[in-house]
Amino acid sequence: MSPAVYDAVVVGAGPAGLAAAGTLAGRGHSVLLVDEGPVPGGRLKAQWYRLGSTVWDGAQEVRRLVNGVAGGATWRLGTSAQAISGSAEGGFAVDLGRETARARTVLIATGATEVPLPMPGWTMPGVLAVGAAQTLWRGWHIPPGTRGVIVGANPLGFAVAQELADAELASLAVVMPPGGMATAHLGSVGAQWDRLLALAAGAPPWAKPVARLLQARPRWRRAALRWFPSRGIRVAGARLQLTRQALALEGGDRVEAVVLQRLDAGGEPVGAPWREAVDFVLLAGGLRPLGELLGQVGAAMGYYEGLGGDVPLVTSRLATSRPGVFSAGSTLGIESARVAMAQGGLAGLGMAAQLGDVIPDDAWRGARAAIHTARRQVPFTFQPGLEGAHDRHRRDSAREVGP
Amino acid sequence: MTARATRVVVVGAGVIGAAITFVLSRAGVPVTLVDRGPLGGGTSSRCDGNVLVIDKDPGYQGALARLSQDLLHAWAGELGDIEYRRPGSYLALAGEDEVEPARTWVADQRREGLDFSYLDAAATHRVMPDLAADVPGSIYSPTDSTLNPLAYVAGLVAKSRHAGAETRPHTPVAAVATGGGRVAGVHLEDGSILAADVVVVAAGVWTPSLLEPLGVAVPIRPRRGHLVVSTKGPRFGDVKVMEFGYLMAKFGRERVVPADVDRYGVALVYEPTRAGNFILGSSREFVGFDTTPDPDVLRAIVRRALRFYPAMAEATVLRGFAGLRPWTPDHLPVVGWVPSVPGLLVAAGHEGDGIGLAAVTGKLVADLVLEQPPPLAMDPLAVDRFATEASQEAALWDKTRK
Amino acid sequence: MRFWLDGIERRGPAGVPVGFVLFAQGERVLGWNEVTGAARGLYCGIGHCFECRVTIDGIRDQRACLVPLTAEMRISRQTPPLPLTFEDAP
Repeated sequence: MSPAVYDAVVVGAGPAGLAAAGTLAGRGHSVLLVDEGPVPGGRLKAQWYRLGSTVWDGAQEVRRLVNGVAGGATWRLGTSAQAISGSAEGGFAVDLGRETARARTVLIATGATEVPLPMPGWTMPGVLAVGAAQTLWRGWHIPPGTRGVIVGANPLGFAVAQELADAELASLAVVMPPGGMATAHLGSVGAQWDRLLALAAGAPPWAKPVARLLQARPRWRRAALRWFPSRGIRVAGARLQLTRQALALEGGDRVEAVVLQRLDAGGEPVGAPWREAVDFVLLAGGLRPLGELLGQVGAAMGYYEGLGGDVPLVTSRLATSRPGVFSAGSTLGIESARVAMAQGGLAGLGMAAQLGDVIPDDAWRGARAAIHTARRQVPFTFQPGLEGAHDRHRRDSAREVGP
Repeated sequence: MTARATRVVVVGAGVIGAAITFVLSRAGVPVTLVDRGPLGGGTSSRCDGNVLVIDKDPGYQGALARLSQDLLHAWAGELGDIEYRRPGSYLALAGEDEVEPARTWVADQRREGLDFSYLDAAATHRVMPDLAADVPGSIYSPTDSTLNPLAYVAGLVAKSRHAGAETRPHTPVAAVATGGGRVAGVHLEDGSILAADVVVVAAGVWTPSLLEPLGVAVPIRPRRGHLVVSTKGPRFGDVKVMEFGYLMAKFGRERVVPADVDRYGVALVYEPTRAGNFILGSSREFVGFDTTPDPDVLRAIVRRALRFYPAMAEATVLRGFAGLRPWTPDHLPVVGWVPSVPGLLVAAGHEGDGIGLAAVTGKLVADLVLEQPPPLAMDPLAVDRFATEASQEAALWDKTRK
Repeated sequence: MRFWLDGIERRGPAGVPVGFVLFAQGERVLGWNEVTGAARGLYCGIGHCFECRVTIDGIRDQRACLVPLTAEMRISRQTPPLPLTFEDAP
């Protein structure tokens, strides 16, 4: 059952895309779900962490969402959406390489991508973006190696460190990234410590000891960092070494060592660098929204530090400035998978309305309330200044795209 | 007004504005280069790196391009690593019907003193073994060169700064300021004025909007062009290859090509880059200021490339993008003083030759500012050469119909 | 289940992305940078970085992290082309 023109093409089968597809299919609309990955779920399927006494199991959430879509959608996994052309009036054409899908509405829910953390030696095999280790271990039960470091002390790095806790690694340390031009966007070591401090309020439970340490008054924090053990403190199976910095990665056809430098409480190097043997390195540069298709269709965008980068300006129904094109999930800003799901639900309603469905007021209210609820339930925030960014994004959107 | 005391503001930090700033600042003239966006972020960031004479009309257009090649060749060593190389370029023929026009083209160019040669089928396939077996011949121009446009602009800007020029990206100009019957500088959008004795408008496709308030009309229009970039992988020769067929219109002959090739003005451009990718062009469309890439046009470009390089079917497309060429009715740029506004210079409308003609444009504009004799006549580039609206329309009609 | 890497017989689980299968088997190098010749392997694991490109069943530039392994699949690592010549042409 594949209609000549789909009511909706959903690009990205992560939490947002699956939720939107479920909403649309449940209302009887024909949906084509497109994802580059071989299995649905996006980054959600590899998420796993304890929340107090409960466990957030991304794989289980994906199963639930896929069941919600059930047979109500046509699937195109392992398929890249390369370009979108056309309009709401004349219909959209989504270029899928081997075929072109026609659609009345399009959802761009392509999620996020990792910010590169370039450093000497970072292109060597065995050096992975931190999310790859998450996918390898939680998705396929393949450990990234036996002895390694995570370069970059940020929420994504911490989250993956915790997810690797049961991988029985011989050692895993979290260290600070190198300075210099390539990492200038991260600011100084001191600025990164400050950012960790700002995030500490929403730190995941297992990181509370560090959070408490960093939340101390600035002069106490400075003292704490001065007494911070050089070997680091043990957190969820990893050693958090806030006073160590990775300067370079060494090896040949695969990474063999990391060059480390001790830092003082002001973030300045002390003593001579040394080498430690590793067989894997995970670079944690953070996440930023992946909006290439939005740029390609010419949707109005804005830059919001707190949302992680360039995101589309959207109406309260998550419609972009291009009529018929909607957006949800991390593409709209780096937030939790719960928020992405809730946004997917709202975008699904928005698309249904665009297709002519009459949506009762309480359904809109419920969908928006779900986003607020999800925001309150976040285990930890990825970016400081998220709320301020939401406010500015809402204001700019209302001005540029409409209510 | 002595040259030494002249303060110059150049509006537009594309390759043209950067080259002008480079020549002027090295001559000791204080220059401020302003752009509403990043340096080199407009048309100069959405183009190939061709520096060609092979496709120019024999005569003035060819001489202008040739002069620019020599200037660039002299500069290239001092601009840092701009990936400059001079492999020459080729025009491949698509069919036997193009052989005679191609030989005539070579003879005409040789009469003008250019070192063109005609290669028969055997010679063509020896130099370009990846070309389709049915390509009956090609034309070769040895002086044609190539570079990385982004690095070229960056190199010109860096050297200009070193020579004392000031660069102000992300500084939108609201209007050209006048006073006492001549140019006074530019009004910036933040309300301030940047004072100058000479203002050079080098704003490419955005030039008319700055000149219209002064009652100056230049018929520059945005003409969209698409490019396709391959992944780093197999290469189909190290030389730049274009197709002769696109010049067939100059001989008053019909170009026999598929409908989409005709509709989007597609003609083969193959340019291997040092980074390991190759660039495929080209297309020509009047669609206003819309730079949204059109997958249909990208597909037409790829199909056209496959006609000449069947083995390219194994290559992978990395991405495609579109930019706006500043088109003029007679395909020559507008470079010269604006007669009605003393102190105002225009240097724009280079269509697809901005990278190639930037060097000579920088030299010509500097000669005008410094009151030195230019190396070639500038009447064909004059701002007021599009005298009447009627002749503009006629020229437009003549050039755009098939 | 059988597959082939650079013409050599291997066994691996069906359905797991090719790049992950090779990673688990200790194969870190999936190709070489086309310009520098330096070894490259799995990096982002999610199809964004294109560092893991291999030829699969004759089709170049397949992202090893996205393509699930199937029986008798032929995977080959892509060798870099010769560097671009910079001399003036003949």
